[in-house]
Amino acid sequence: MKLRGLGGLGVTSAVLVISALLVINAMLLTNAVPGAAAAERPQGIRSAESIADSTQAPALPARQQGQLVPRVWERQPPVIPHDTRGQQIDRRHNRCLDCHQGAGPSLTGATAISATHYVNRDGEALQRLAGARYFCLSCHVPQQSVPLLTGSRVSQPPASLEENEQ
Amino acid sequence: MKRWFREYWRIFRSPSVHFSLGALAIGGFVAGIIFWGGFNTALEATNSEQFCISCHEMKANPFAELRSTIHYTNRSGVRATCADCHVPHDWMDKIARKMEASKEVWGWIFGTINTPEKFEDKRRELAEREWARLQANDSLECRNCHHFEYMDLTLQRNLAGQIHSLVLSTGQGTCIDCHKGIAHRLPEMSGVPVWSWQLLEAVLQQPD
Repeated sequence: MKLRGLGGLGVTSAVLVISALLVINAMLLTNAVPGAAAAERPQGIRSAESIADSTQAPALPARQQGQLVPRVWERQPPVIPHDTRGQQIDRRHNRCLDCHQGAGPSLTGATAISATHYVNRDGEALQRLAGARYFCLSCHVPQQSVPLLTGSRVSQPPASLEENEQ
Repeated sequence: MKRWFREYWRIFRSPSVHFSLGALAIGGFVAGIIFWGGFNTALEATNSEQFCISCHEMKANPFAELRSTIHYTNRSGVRATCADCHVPHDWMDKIARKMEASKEVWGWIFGTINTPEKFEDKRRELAEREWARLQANDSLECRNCHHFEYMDLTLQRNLAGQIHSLVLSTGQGTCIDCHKGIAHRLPEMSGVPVWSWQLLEAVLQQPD
Protein backbone atom coordinates (compact mmCIF):
# COMPACT_ATOMS: atom_id res chain seq x y z
CA MET A 1 0.00 0.00 0.00
CA LYS A 2 2.74 2.38 0.94
CA LEU A 3 4.55 1.58 -2.27
CA ARG A 4 1.51 2.40 -4.33
CA GLY A 5 1.23 5.78 -2.56
CA LEU A 6 4.78 6.56 -3.57
CA GLY A 7 4.13 5.45 -7.12
CA GLY A 8 1.44 8.08 -7.58
CA LEU A 9 2.41 11.62 -6.76
CA GLY A 10 5.68 10.76 -5.00
CA VAL A 11 7.66 9.70 -8.04
CA THR A 12 6.58 12.66 -10.16
CA SER A 13 7.65 15.16 -7.56
CA ALA A 14 10.93 13.32 -7.01
CA VAL A 15 11.67 13.49 -10.74
CA LEU A 16 10.89 17.21 -10.73
CA VAL A 17 13.22 17.89 -7.79
CA ILE A 18 16.06 15.90 -9.33
CA SER A 19 15.77 17.56 -12.72
CA ALA A 20 15.70 20.98 -11.04
CA LEU A 21 18.91 20.11 -9.22
CA LEU A 22 20.49 18.96 -12.46
CA VAL A 23 19.61 22.21 -14.19
CA ILE A 24 21.11 24.26 -11.34
CA ASN A 25 24.21 22.11 -11.44
CA ALA A 26 24.57 22.51 -15.16
CA MET A 27 24.23 26.27 -14.84
CA LEU A 28 26.96 26.38 -12.25
CA LEU A 29 29.30 24.21 -14.26
CA THR A 30 28.83 25.80 -17.64
CA ASN A 31 29.42 29.26 -16.25
CA ALA A 32 25.97 30.67 -16.96
CA VAL A 33 27.17 34.25 -16.43
CA PRO A 34 30.29 34.62 -18.57
CA GLY A 35 32.49 37.69 -18.68
CA ALA A 36 32.41 39.23 -15.26
CA ALA A 37 32.78 35.95 -13.40
CA ALA A 38 35.70 34.72 -15.53
CA ALA A 39 37.84 37.75 -14.83
CA GLU A 40 37.45 37.36 -11.10
CA ARG A 41 38.68 33.78 -11.10
CA PRO A 42 42.21 33.18 -9.90
CA GLN A 43 44.61 32.71 -12.81
CA GLY A 44 47.54 30.48 -12.12
CA ILE A 45 50.34 29.58 -14.47
CA ARG A 46 47.99 27.13 -16.08
CA SER A 47 46.88 28.08 -19.55
CA ALA A 48 43.34 26.98 -18.82
CA GLU A 49 40.52 29.34 -18.08
CA SER A 50 40.12 28.15 -14.52
CA ILE A 51 40.98 25.25 -12.28
CA ALA A 52 37.61 23.69 -13.06
CA ASP A 53 38.63 23.14 -16.69
CA SER A 54 40.82 20.24 -17.55
CA THR A 55 43.67 20.92 -19.91
CA GLN A 56 45.42 18.58 -22.23
CA ALA A 57 48.85 17.56 -21.08
CA PRO A 58 51.62 18.55 -23.49
CA ALA A 59 53.35 15.72 -25.29
CA LEU A 60 56.41 14.33 -23.52
CA PRO A 61 59.51 15.87 -25.09
CA ALA A 62 61.93 13.50 -26.73
CA ARG A 63 65.09 12.85 -24.79
CA GLN A 64 68.25 14.14 -26.32
CA GLN A 65 69.92 10.92 -27.15
CA GLY A 66 73.49 10.25 -28.12
CA GLN A 67 74.77 13.77 -28.64
CA LEU A 68 76.92 15.45 -26.05
CA VAL A 69 75.26 18.64 -24.86
CA PRO A 70 77.75 21.51 -24.60
CA ARG A 71 78.17 23.09 -21.19
CA VAL A 72 76.78 26.56 -20.60
CA TRP A 73 79.51 27.59 -18.20
CA GLU A 74 82.75 26.07 -17.13
CA ARG A 75 82.43 23.61 -14.28
CA GLN A 76 78.79 23.05 -15.07
CA PRO A 77 78.05 19.40 -14.35
CA PRO A 78 77.68 17.96 -17.86
CA VAL A 79 74.16 16.81 -18.66
CA ILE A 80 73.47 13.18 -19.48
CA PRO A 81 73.01 12.58 -23.21
CA HIS A 82 71.05 9.34 -22.83
CA ASP A 83 68.02 7.86 -21.16
CA THR A 84 68.42 6.88 -17.52
CA ARG A 85 65.13 5.10 -17.08
CA GLY A 86 65.40 2.19 -14.70
CA GLN A 87 69.12 2.61 -14.09
CA GLN A 88 69.78 1.56 -10.54
CA ILE A 89 71.57 3.94 -8.20
CA ASP A 90 71.24 2.87 -4.61
CA ARG A 91 73.45 1.67 -1.78
CA ARG A 92 73.76 -1.77 -3.36
CA HIS A 93 74.86 -0.74 -6.79
CA ASN A 94 75.42 2.25 -9.05
CA ARG A 95 74.65 1.40 -12.65
CA CYS A 96 76.32 4.53 -14.02
CA LEU A 97 79.68 3.31 -12.78
CA ASP A 98 79.42 0.17 -14.93
CA CYS A 99 80.26 2.28 -17.99
CA HIS A 100 81.68 5.53 -16.62
CA GLN A 101 84.37 4.02 -14.43
CA GLY A 102 87.22 1.53 -14.67
CA ALA A 103 87.50 -0.24 -18.00
CA GLY A 104 84.14 1.20 -19.06
CA PRO A 105 85.10 4.47 -20.76
CA SER A 106 87.81 2.93 -22.95
CA LEU A 107 85.48 0.17 -24.13
CA THR A 108 82.20 2.01 -24.43
CA GLY A 109 83.29 5.54 -25.19
CA ALA A 110 81.41 6.77 -22.15
CA THR A 111 82.72 9.91 -20.50
CA ALA A 112 85.07 9.00 -17.67
CA ILE A 113 84.28 10.39 -14.25
CA SER A 114 86.38 13.45 -13.46
CA ALA A 115 89.33 13.00 -11.10
CA THR A 116 87.75 15.56 -8.79
CA HIS A 117 85.18 12.93 -7.87
CA TYR A 118 87.81 10.74 -6.26
CA VAL A 119 88.73 13.31 -3.66
CA ASN A 120 86.80 13.59 -0.44
CA ARG A 121 85.82 16.87 1.15
CA ASP A 122 89.03 16.96 3.17
CA GLY A 123 91.06 16.86 -0.02
CA GLU A 124 92.31 13.31 0.45
CA ALA A 125 92.61 11.24 -2.69
CA LEU A 126 90.57 8.03 -2.56
CA GLN A 127 90.77 4.74 -4.40
CA ARG A 128 87.05 4.78 -5.04
CA LEU A 129 84.41 7.36 -5.82
CA ALA A 130 83.89 9.83 -2.97
CA GLY A 131 80.69 9.18 -1.05
CA ALA A 132 79.44 12.70 -1.66
CA ARG A 133 79.69 12.09 -5.43
CA TYR A 134 77.93 8.75 -5.40
CA PHE A 135 74.48 9.87 -6.45
CA CYS A 136 75.15 10.99 -10.03
CA LEU A 137 71.67 12.37 -10.68
CA SER A 138 72.03 14.94 -7.91
CA CYS A 139 74.08 17.07 -10.32
CA HIS A 140 73.96 15.35 -13.72
CA VAL A 141 70.56 15.05 -15.34
CA PRO A 142 69.20 14.00 -18.73
CA GLN A 143 68.47 17.04 -20.84
CA GLN A 144 65.24 17.80 -22.67
CA SER A 145 64.20 20.62 -24.95
CA VAL A 146 61.16 22.12 -23.32
CA PRO A 147 59.77 25.64 -23.35
CA LEU A 148 60.57 27.45 -20.13
CA LEU A 149 57.64 27.70 -17.75
CA THR A 150 58.90 31.03 -16.52
CA GLY A 151 61.63 33.31 -17.82
CA SER A 152 65.14 33.27 -16.47
CA ARG A 153 67.58 36.12 -16.16
CA VAL A 154 70.57 33.88 -15.62
CA SER A 155 72.83 34.27 -18.65
CA GLN A 156 76.17 33.72 -16.98
CA PRO A 157 77.42 31.92 -13.91
CA PRO A 158 76.60 33.49 -10.57
CA ALA A 159 79.27 35.89 -9.36
CA SER A 160 80.05 33.66 -6.41
CA LEU A 161 81.06 30.84 -8.75
CA GLU A 162 83.35 33.12 -10.74
CA GLU A 163 85.16 34.16 -7.60
CA ASN A 164 85.76 30.56 -6.72
CA GLU A 165 87.40 29.94 -10.06
CA GLN A 166 90.16 32.43 -9.35
CA MET B 1 45.36 -52.22 8.52
CA LYS B 2 47.35 -54.92 6.82
CA ARG B 3 44.24 -57.00 6.22
CA TRP B 4 42.44 -53.99 4.78
CA PHE B 5 45.33 -53.34 2.46
CA ARG B 6 45.52 -56.99 1.38
CA GLU B 7 41.78 -57.04 0.65
CA TYR B 8 42.09 -54.04 -1.66
CA TRP B 9 45.17 -55.48 -3.32
CA ARG B 10 43.17 -58.63 -4.09
CA ILE B 11 40.33 -56.60 -5.66
CA PHE B 12 42.87 -54.56 -7.58
CA ARG B 13 44.53 -57.65 -8.98
CA SER B 14 41.45 -59.69 -9.90
CA PRO B 15 39.80 -59.27 -13.32
CA SER B 16 36.70 -57.14 -13.69
CA VAL B 17 33.43 -59.02 -13.19
CA HIS B 18 30.77 -56.43 -14.10
CA PHE B 19 32.46 -54.12 -16.61
CA SER B 20 33.41 -55.04 -20.12
CA LEU B 21 36.94 -54.58 -21.33
CA GLY B 22 35.75 -51.93 -23.79
CA ALA B 23 34.03 -49.90 -21.08
CA LEU B 24 37.13 -50.06 -18.93
CA ALA B 25 39.41 -49.10 -21.80
CA ILE B 26 37.25 -46.17 -22.90
CA GLY B 27 36.55 -45.16 -19.30
CA GLY B 28 40.26 -45.25 -18.55
CA PHE B 29 41.00 -43.22 -21.66
CA VAL B 30 38.48 -40.53 -20.76
CA ALA B 31 39.62 -40.46 -17.15
CA GLY B 32 43.18 -40.11 -18.42
CA ILE B 33 42.29 -37.10 -20.53
CA ILE B 34 40.50 -35.49 -17.61
CA PHE B 35 43.39 -36.20 -15.26
CA TRP B 36 46.05 -34.98 -17.64
CA GLY B 37 44.10 -31.87 -18.55
CA GLY B 38 43.44 -31.16 -14.90
CA PHE B 39 47.07 -31.71 -14.02
CA ASN B 40 48.31 -29.33 -16.67
CA THR B 41 45.68 -26.75 -15.85
CA ALA B 42 46.70 -26.84 -12.21
CA LEU B 43 50.34 -26.60 -13.21
CA GLU B 44 49.57 -23.68 -15.48
CA ALA B 45 47.71 -21.96 -12.65
CA THR B 46 50.84 -22.09 -10.51
CA ASN B 47 52.64 -20.28 -13.31
CA SER B 48 50.41 -17.23 -13.24
CA GLU B 49 51.44 -13.88 -11.89
CA GLN B 50 48.36 -13.99 -9.69
CA PHE B 51 49.62 -17.17 -8.05
CA CYS B 52 53.15 -15.86 -7.50
CA ILE B 53 52.09 -12.67 -5.81
CA SER B 54 49.51 -14.39 -3.67
CA CYS B 55 52.44 -14.71 -1.27
CA HIS B 56 53.26 -11.48 0.50
CA GLU B 57 57.01 -12.14 0.13
CA MET B 58 56.80 -12.12 -3.65
CA LYS B 59 54.35 -9.25 -3.91
CA ALA B 60 56.24 -6.91 -1.62
CA ASN B 61 59.77 -7.56 -2.87
CA PRO B 62 60.56 -8.96 -6.32
CA PHE B 63 57.20 -8.06 -7.84
CA ALA B 64 57.33 -4.49 -6.56
CA GLU B 65 60.72 -4.12 -8.25
CA LEU B 66 59.51 -5.64 -11.50
CA ARG B 67 56.71 -3.12 -11.82
CA SER B 68 58.89 -0.23 -12.95
CA THR B 69 60.84 -2.23 -15.52
CA ILE B 70 60.30 -2.63 -19.24
CA HIS B 71 59.32 -6.26 -18.78
CA TYR B 72 56.29 -5.25 -16.76
CA THR B 73 55.00 -2.27 -18.69
CA ASN B 74 56.01 -0.86 -22.06
CA ARG B 75 54.59 0.83 -25.12
CA SER B 76 53.37 -2.31 -26.89
CA GLY B 77 52.05 -4.30 -23.94
CA VAL B 78 54.01 -7.44 -24.73
CA ARG B 79 55.33 -8.49 -21.38
CA ALA B 80 57.13 -11.13 -19.43
CA THR B 81 55.90 -12.02 -16.01
CA CYS B 82 57.39 -14.15 -13.20
CA ALA B 83 57.10 -17.58 -14.76
CA ASP B 84 58.36 -16.47 -18.17
CA CYS B 85 61.83 -15.97 -16.75
CA HIS B 86 61.85 -18.19 -13.70
CA VAL B 87 60.13 -21.36 -14.93
CA PRO B 88 61.48 -23.29 -17.92
CA HIS B 89 58.97 -23.82 -20.73
CA ASP B 90 60.21 -27.28 -21.57
CA TRP B 91 58.08 -29.90 -19.81
CA MET B 92 60.79 -32.00 -18.15
CA ASP B 93 62.69 -28.92 -16.95
CA LYS B 94 59.44 -27.38 -15.81
CA ILE B 95 58.56 -30.39 -13.65
CA ALA B 96 62.09 -30.41 -12.24
CA ARG B 97 61.78 -26.72 -11.38
CA LYS B 98 58.35 -27.23 -9.85
CA MET B 99 59.76 -29.97 -7.62
CA GLU B 100 62.60 -27.67 -6.63
CA ALA B 101 60.01 -25.05 -5.78
CA SER B 102 58.78 -27.19 -2.91
CA LYS B 103 61.70 -25.71 -1.02
CA GLU B 104 60.15 -22.30 -1.58
CA VAL B 105 56.99 -23.54 0.14
CA TRP B 106 59.21 -24.49 3.05
CA GLY B 107 60.72 -21.01 3.01
CA TRP B 108 57.25 -19.53 2.94
CA ILE B 109 56.08 -21.58 5.94
CA PHE B 110 59.10 -20.58 8.02
CA GLY B 111 59.21 -17.00 6.74
CA THR B 112 62.76 -17.05 5.36
CA ILE B 113 62.29 -13.77 3.49
CA ASN B 114 59.08 -12.40 4.95
CA THR B 115 60.48 -8.96 5.78
CA PRO B 116 62.32 -6.51 3.52
CA GLU B 117 65.38 -6.86 5.78
CA LYS B 118 65.46 -10.64 5.47
CA PHE B 119 64.98 -10.36 1.72
CA GLU B 120 67.82 -7.86 1.53
CA ASP B 121 70.12 -10.22 3.44
CA LYS B 122 69.34 -13.01 1.01
CA ARG B 123 69.29 -10.90 -2.14
CA ARG B 124 72.80 -11.76 -3.26
CA GLU B 125 72.29 -15.48 -2.64
CA LEU B 126 68.98 -15.54 -4.48
CA ALA B 127 70.39 -13.54 -7.38
CA GLU B 128 73.43 -15.76 -7.65
CA ARG B 129 71.22 -18.82 -7.88
CA GLU B 130 69.30 -17.36 -10.80
CA TRP B 131 72.47 -16.18 -12.56
CA ALA B 132 73.93 -19.65 -12.24
CA ARG B 133 70.76 -21.22 -13.58
CA LEU B 134 70.64 -18.94 -16.62
CA GLN B 135 74.35 -19.37 -17.17
CA ALA B 136 73.90 -23.13 -17.19
CA ASN B 137 71.04 -23.18 -19.68
CA ASP B 138 72.53 -20.50 -21.97
CA SER B 139 69.92 -17.93 -20.93
CA LEU B 140 67.14 -20.12 -22.25
CA GLU B 141 64.36 -18.08 -20.65
CA CYS B 142 65.65 -14.89 -22.29
CA ARG B 143 65.86 -16.64 -25.62
CA ASN B 144 62.29 -17.87 -25.43
CA CYS B 145 61.38 -14.36 -26.58
CA HIS B 146 64.64 -12.71 -27.65
CA HIS B 147 65.83 -14.66 -30.68
CA PHE B 148 69.35 -13.80 -31.66
CA GLU B 149 68.78 -14.90 -35.26
CA TYR B 150 66.13 -12.22 -35.70
CA MET B 151 67.92 -9.36 -33.97
CA ASP B 152 68.72 -6.52 -36.34
CA LEU B 153 72.10 -5.57 -34.96
CA THR B 154 72.17 -2.42 -37.07
CA LEU B 155 69.18 -1.08 -35.19
CA GLN B 156 70.93 -1.55 -31.87
CA ARG B 157 73.14 1.04 -30.34
CA ASN B 158 76.60 0.96 -31.78
CA LEU B 159 78.35 -0.76 -28.92
CA ALA B 160 75.49 -3.13 -28.16
CA GLY B 161 75.41 -4.32 -31.74
CA GLN B 162 79.15 -4.83 -31.75
CA ILE B 163 79.15 -6.81 -28.55
CA HIS B 164 76.21 -8.93 -29.62
CA SER B 165 77.84 -9.82 -32.90
CA LEU B 166 81.21 -10.51 -31.32
CA VAL B 167 80.30 -12.16 -28.04
CA LEU B 168 76.80 -13.50 -28.33
CA SER B 169 76.92 -14.88 -31.85
CA THR B 170 80.14 -16.76 -31.17
CA GLY B 171 78.75 -18.27 -28.00
CA GLN B 172 81.56 -16.80 -25.91
CA GLY B 173 79.00 -15.14 -23.74
CA THR B 174 75.34 -15.46 -22.96
CA CYS B 175 72.63 -12.90 -22.20
CA ILE B 176 72.97 -13.04 -18.42
CA ASP B 177 76.69 -12.21 -18.59
CA CYS B 178 75.82 -8.59 -19.22
CA HIS B 179 72.09 -8.29 -18.61
CA LYS B 180 71.90 -8.75 -14.87
CA GLY B 181 69.47 -6.79 -12.78
CA ILE B 182 67.08 -6.02 -15.61
CA ALA B 183 63.91 -7.06 -13.82
CA HIS B 184 64.92 -6.74 -10.19
CA ARG B 185 67.38 -4.52 -8.37
CA LEU B 186 70.95 -5.72 -8.26
CA PRO B 187 72.40 -6.90 -4.96
CA GLU B 188 75.67 -5.62 -3.61
CA MET B 189 77.93 -6.53 -6.53
CA SER B 190 81.44 -6.73 -5.10
CA GLY B 191 83.37 -9.39 -6.95
CA VAL B 192 80.81 -9.77 -9.72
CA PRO B 193 81.95 -8.56 -13.14
CA VAL B 194 78.85 -6.66 -14.18
CA TRP B 195 79.46 -6.54 -17.88
CA SER B 196 82.11 -9.25 -17.87
CA TRP B 197 84.63 -6.61 -18.95
CA GLN B 198 87.46 -9.10 -19.18
CA LEU B 199 85.48 -11.12 -21.66
CA LEU B 200 84.59 -8.05 -23.69
CA GLU B 201 88.12 -6.70 -23.61
CA ALA B 202 89.49 -9.98 -24.87
CA VAL B 203 86.95 -10.18 -27.66
CA LEU B 204 87.14 -6.56 -28.73
CA GLN B 205 90.90 -6.64 -28.92
CA GLN B 206 90.97 -9.61 -31.24
CA PRO B 207 92.23 -8.72 -34.70
CA ASP B 208 89.46 -8.66 -37.30
